[in-house]
Order: sequence, then structure tokens, then C-alpha cells
Amino acid sequence: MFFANGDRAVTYQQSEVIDAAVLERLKNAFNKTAHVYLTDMITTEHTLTFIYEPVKIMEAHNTIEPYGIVVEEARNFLVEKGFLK
Amino acid sequence: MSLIIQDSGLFSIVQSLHKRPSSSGGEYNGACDRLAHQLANQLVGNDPDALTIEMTVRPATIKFTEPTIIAYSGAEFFGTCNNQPVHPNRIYLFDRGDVLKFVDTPRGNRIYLAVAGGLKVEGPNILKPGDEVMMCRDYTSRHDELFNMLRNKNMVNWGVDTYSLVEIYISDLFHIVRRPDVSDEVYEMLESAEFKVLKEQNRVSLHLTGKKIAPAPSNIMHPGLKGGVYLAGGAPILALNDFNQSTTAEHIGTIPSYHMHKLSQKRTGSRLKFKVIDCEDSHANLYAQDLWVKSLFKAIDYKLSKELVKEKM
Repeated sequence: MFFANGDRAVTYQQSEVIDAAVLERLKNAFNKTAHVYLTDMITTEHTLTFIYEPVKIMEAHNTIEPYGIVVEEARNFLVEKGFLK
Repeated sequence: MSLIIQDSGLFSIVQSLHKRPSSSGGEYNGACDRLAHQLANQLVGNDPDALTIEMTVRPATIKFTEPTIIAYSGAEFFGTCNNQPVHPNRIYLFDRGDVLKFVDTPRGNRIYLAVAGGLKVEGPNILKPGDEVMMCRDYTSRHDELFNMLRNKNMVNWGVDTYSLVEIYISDLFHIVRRPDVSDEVYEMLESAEFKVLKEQNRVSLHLTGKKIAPAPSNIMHPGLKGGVYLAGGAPILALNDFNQSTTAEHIGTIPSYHMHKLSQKRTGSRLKFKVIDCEDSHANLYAQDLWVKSLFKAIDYKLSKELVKEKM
């Protein structure tokens, strides 16, 4: 599940433990990939948290609801890297 | 030449606005009160992300070794220099040999001191007595004008009034962005209680005491995130900037960034209440505050320009 972790982060969380090698692969991929709005990714064995700058998105998209845009970018990244279907 | 830390106070650290890596052994996880950090820099004509000195509970005593323009923002600590009172959110020029001391305040927790032209430290950024904070002297034409203006009288007559900042700092009510997997019962308990700050682990966390809250255990390893609200033994722990470790303590929501300024000004004994909100509301509030901050900074620029023009005439 994705949820808003405050106003500057979205977190993907699952109850099953994410394998350490998978986390490492995702971290490396995140650091090597260019992102539109995601600035950082923090991982634990159950979560992947994506940091973003909300006002930047608000101004670029003329909206005050940036959450959906960030979740879409985070989900696309995880799908592209084969973590989510 | 530099600023000499004669007494480092309770906890003083050179800090950046944003989290940034350091190769010199310093830990730069960002200013806890980002607004005060930016405001102090704005007053002295620096970039908002220039380093400041963050001082907690009992500020440092600082000796100046050359003419230095400073301003400090945050808690209502009053200072003295050469028997002259020194106020927060105002601009001062101190001379070689001047010593700035602060008087304790019963309200607020942190101040941020900015120096025109910027500052830096070599090595660790936590300050100890005898440490030197280097002046960068990256002076712009605005700084030169400020020096000229302050040559005859060492302070600017106006500053940012406390009343202008009341909206940001005065309330004890903190928003928490809800999680979809936390029960309404937990949030009802949280909202119905009043909590007190039991202690602060410097820049890491605020530990609260009050009604015990026991959510169903999730057995999830949560990320340590600034503003995160965690429950340990039923008592809330609020994560500050240096709270970097993952935790199995239950995460029940996160305080939005626009309330972190006033959270970082709460000290032991301060009282807190919570209101649980949705992410959409937090973004609307954030945007409103962002506009307000931009207008405040524009007003400072305008006022300074007017003052400088007056000086030239």
C-alpha cells in the first residue's frame, strides 16, 4: 500500500520482508535514475519511502494536491524496476 | 579572522538549511526551525541556505574579531553587547572585540544566528568553548550597502515584529497526517489528550508524556522520518531532524513540515495537543504558509531597499 507520510514523503509498505538484495538493487537504481519530483528514497525491510518537494509540484501543475502525481512517479519507478506489477 | 565561541551554551551547532553530506566530520541534517534559519539569513542579505549557528535552550557567548553584520531569529532570546540590548529579528553591526551574550528565556527553544557573507567551520560542526567559526566574507553589493549604512549607528531601527510571527509559533496544536492503517480509535485518543514534553534528545526526538495509547502491533520496520510520530510504551515520540534510524515503534502519522518550526521551539515542560488531518489538507496549509513566507521575505527586501535608498539621499 502507498500512503502519505506527512506532506513531503510517500511510503510504499508491505507486511512481507523485502529481501536485502532487492533493497540494495532498488537503492542503486534510484540513485542512477533521473527523477522528475522524487529527491530521495529511504528504505527499511518493509517500506520504501520517497521524498519530494510539494511546492515545486504545486507550482508546476497548478494544483495544491501533489500526492497523486508523486505516487504515480514512485509506482512507475517500482514497476519499471520489476518490483511491482 | 572569525567568530570565537567563548561559551558554547547548552548545544550549539553550525547548520545548513537542507540535509547535505559533509566530508569534514560534521553532520548537516538541516535546521530544525527552517523558517528561523531562512529569516536570519534574509535579514543579513544572505542566500536562505547559507549556514547559521543553531543554539538550543542556552545560547552561546560569541566574540567578534572584525566588523560583522548579524541577525538572529527563532525563540525570543534577548542578548546584550556593550551593555546595549540586542533583539531577535533585527540587524546589528558588531565590531572587533565585541561580545554577544544572551539572557535565558522561559519561552522557545532555538535561535539561529546568521552572519552577512556566510560562515563555515573546519571539522565537526558541534561547537565547543574556544572553537572558531570562520567568516566566508562572500560579500555582495547588498552587504557593502549594509556595512555603509551601519557604519554610523550599529543597528537598523526596524525588524520583523514578534506579532508577525505569532501565527507560526504561538499555538500548541499540531497537525498529524493520518495513516490509512491506523484505527480511528487511536486518533480519537490522541486528539482528546494533552501531552507534555518530557525531554528532548538533542535534535533527534521529543519524548512526550500523557495518556498512554496502545495501537494494535503491526510488526513493521518503519523509516525514521522528520516529523514522524511513533509510540514507544504507549507514549508518543516525535522525530526531529537527526532521527535517522529505522524503528519498530508503531508509526501513527507524521507532523507536516509547516508545523516543524513551532515543534522545534517546544522545550521540556511545553504542552502539546494534536489534530489529525488528511494529506490534502496538509498540502493546502503548506501552500498557504509558503505564500506567507515568500511575502514576508519580499517585505524584508523592500524595507531594506527603502532604508538603503534613504541612507544614500
